Amino acid sequence: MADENKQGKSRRQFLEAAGGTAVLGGLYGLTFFQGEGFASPKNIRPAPGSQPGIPDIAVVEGNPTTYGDITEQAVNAVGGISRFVKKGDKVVITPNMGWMRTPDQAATTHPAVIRRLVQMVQQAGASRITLIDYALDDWKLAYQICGARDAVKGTMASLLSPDHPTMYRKVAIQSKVPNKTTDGADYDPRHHYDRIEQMLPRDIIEADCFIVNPVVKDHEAAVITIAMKKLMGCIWNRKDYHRYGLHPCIAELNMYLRPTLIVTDATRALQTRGPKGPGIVTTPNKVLAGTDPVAMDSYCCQFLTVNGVTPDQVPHLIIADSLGRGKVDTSGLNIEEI
Amino acid sequence: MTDIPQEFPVRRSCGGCGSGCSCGSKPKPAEQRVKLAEITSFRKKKPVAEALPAEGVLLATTGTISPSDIGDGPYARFTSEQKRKMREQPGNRSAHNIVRVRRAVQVATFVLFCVLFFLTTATQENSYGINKNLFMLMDFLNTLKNGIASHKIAVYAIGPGLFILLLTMWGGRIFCGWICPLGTAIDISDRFLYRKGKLFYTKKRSDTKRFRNWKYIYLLLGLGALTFGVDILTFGDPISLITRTFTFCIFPPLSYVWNGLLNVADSHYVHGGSLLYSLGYNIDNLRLPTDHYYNGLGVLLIFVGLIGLSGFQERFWCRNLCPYGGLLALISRISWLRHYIKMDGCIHCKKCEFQSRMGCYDNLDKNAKQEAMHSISECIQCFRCETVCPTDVIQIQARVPASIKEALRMAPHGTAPRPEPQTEIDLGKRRVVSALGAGVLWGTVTQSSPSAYQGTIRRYNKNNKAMRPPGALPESQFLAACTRCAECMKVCPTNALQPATFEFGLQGLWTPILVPAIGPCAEKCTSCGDVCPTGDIRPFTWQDKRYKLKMGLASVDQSICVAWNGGRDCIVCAEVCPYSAVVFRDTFDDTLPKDPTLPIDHVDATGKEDNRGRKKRVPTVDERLCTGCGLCEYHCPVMPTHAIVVYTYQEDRNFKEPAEKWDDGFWRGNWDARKDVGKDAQYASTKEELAKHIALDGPSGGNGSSSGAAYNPDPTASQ
Repeated sequence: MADENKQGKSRRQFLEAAGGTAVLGGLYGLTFFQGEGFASPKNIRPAPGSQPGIPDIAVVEGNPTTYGDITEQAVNAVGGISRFVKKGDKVVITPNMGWMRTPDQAATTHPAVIRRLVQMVQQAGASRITLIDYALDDWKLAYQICGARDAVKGTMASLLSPDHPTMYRKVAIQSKVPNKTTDGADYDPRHHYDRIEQMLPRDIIEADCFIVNPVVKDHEAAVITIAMKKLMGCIWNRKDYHRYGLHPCIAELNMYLRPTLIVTDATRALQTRGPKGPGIVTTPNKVLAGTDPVAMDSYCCQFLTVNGVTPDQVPHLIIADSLGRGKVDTSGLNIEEI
Repeated sequence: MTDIPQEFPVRRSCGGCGSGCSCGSKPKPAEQRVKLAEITSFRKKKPVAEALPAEGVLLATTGTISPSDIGDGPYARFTSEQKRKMREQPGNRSAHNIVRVRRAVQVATFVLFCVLFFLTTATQENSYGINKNLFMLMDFLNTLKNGIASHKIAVYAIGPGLFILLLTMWGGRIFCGWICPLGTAIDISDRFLYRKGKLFYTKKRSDTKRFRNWKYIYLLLGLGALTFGVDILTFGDPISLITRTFTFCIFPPLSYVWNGLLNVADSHYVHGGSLLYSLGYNIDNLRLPTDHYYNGLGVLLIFVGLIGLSGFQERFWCRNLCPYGGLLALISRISWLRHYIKMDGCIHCKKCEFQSRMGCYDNLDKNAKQEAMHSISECIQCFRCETVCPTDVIQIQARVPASIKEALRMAPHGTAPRPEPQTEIDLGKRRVVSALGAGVLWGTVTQSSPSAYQGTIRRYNKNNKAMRPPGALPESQFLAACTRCAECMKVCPTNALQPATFEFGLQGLWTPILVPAIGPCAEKCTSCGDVCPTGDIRPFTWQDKRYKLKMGLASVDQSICVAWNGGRDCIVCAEVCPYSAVVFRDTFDDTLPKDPTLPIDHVDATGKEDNRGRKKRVPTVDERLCTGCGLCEYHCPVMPTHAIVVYTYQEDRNFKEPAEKWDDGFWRGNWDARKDVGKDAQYASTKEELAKHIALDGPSGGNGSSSGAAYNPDPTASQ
């Protein structure tokens, strides 16, 4: 031991102190590290292409007691769940469940539809099922009230509302919307960006299969909210989208994030004051399955009868069609109504 | 006190410091300068050989002591061999055990404090029935303050406060030495920071008594100011201070570093994903909430300052400044647990005097002119003096006081054992009156200044933007009663509650304000009202929040709102509003083009039509429904100044809180149920409304988590 009365530090003490400071400082600096570069949801299996004998969209009508059964029928009509979910897949499902509304208020996907879908995915051999909706309301209460918590009870699925940026990974979404219309005028004066840094939940980044499970609703800003607008429940930075203009951003997000399967819940349709309601509710009693979000939304416009929405009135459908994401005109598609 | 060595040189004139200043006085004789240097240097740099006391001290047996060696001997430096020998001195073995027990209790209570602090979150419900702010409620100075200043006593704070009061009346300042988390924090930091001087104090750290009065004067000054509703005691209130420090300065950096380490462990370098998550482990449950607060630095400086003062005197804060310590000291004059010294066995080694944690002993020198004294009002019952006494003449015992014993004829007059004489509190009539008077003057001046008029200061400061949390008392009472413990800010799940800087004047420093730009007031959250130890934020239910507690009113800035000014499709404020207070209406705007592909002044071939004007949907606020929760402001996409902003217009603080029970301070088991009872029926005017409430949120008493909202989607499915 060094002489206690010696003034100052020895070299050894100095080196120890400096080394300790460096290690602690390095550890502290590491905490700022958030990961480099951009992630991408490249593991998500693309939707299978159209095959003869399998319809593009399957529509099944039922009654309030058979919502689960018609969900299964609709999925079976488009080739069965095993066409989309393989054994060992990590599956992410995004139902509408982020609102504190009861199922009969039609702001959220019906719990019976969610439950049957989760059961089917589980039987298909998924290794992990996550139900994601970035809720605006208090998500614990919302999942309780809309019935989602009870819907997944007894299954392997887990509910998640990614409400913190650490649950996200940065992705780069290229802007594909032309700034100019064909006539030369600005489509949207502020839509002058090339790339938006967006953040997707890391569950979607890791997922092998991505299933969208929307409900048919009116939307006061985006006209309708079905399969395409539903993807805005999976991103972190929604404020930018509202500033830049909703419709081109929705179309670009759909160009980037492509679901494997779309199961649309049209058992009830919120006709006015969407997306949260409460508004006028009708009951078409239908469940749809398909892979093309544009065609799905375009077809589902007929359920919004009170406002009489037609696909022409929905700009993000038109933009997505022009970008080649899908077809607005559903007359040429193979639609099977059961 | 004549024979107490004068430790701190009284500066009468320039004593010839020898530093070469130009005062021109002659340097004093050499030996005097040496003494001054001894006194003023923190660590003595004498050679070891000179610093050694007589060997007799080390062996500590009677008869070989040379008091002159001990009394003036410098105790700063010992070799490790000598320290080992001294540690081996048995002293009083039972007292050693009591010291161990005291340390264990200190550590246990400190751990309990930390655990309860970490459990103070909105989502954490399970604290095994123990009230999360138990330590705040033990601080009955708070209860006293509220009674004086805001004319309101938190009933549930009476139980723990009464417990500490009785404990003090029996055993003196046991709270300070055994329970107080601030005292334990000081002791722990002492052990690490001032380790070299730990066992063998320099005289300087032990026996200065000149600052003792400050705590009484601070207490009296504060009580005087309290009569006019000005609370200055809260800045020194120990539990408030340490809770505040934990909230602002300990927890946020800790959670930041902890979450950062988790990020490092979870990083996936290949494609930016999560390593552990892709392997099937979810470590999100390990994350701590990341909170950020204004004004953390001032709180940190106070805490660091009072830790640093311990280098000057051990527990400088507790013996000289703490107002709660002062209050307990006054009460402890009648306590039963006293120190009995058999002076005939005393060897005048003065170990107790030097090593007493609070410097309680006087006149233990052999040549003292007065009786040896121990002041119970300073003693925190740490039992160290009994431990270090080499001849075991100090005994700390709880006995029936001699006067009572003799009055009850339990002992003949003059025979009951008496504790050693007390040092009187040096607090004469004149000081009491002048301290109280100065406090009253402080209070009156503060309250009569124009800025203190209720609401005025907010009208001029910060553009009427500073909101109080829901359930806050009326402003004058709120300022008087708030103890700035920051528990409401710790518990707030959205980090919306922030310490005020000067939005409410100097008086309002560190009081909670609601900042919706940082976080909204969540609809069903009632945590701040549940946790407030003073009742300053009254306990409320979420129904109260919806119907009665109006914090402010949202207001749309039409010049920057993207819907008003740009004609864009944005309905975020209406989407998020849980009270449906933001209503969208159609309006006509002739500055927007009908056809976006054509210029706005386009005239068609006939010259009649232009491209001017189309409908747009714009937000307006229904003032009857808006409560000022700020969800719209938080979610508004216009950045950084939001287009919909909550101001304190129409603030309503006339609210009668639910009844409390005195034992809620210990156990708040049925707190929620009792708070919520009957609220649904109270606020629903019709049966349909009541049924709607229950369908939406469940019957009252469950915070929406009861079975009313449960929906079985698939009753036939086997689970």
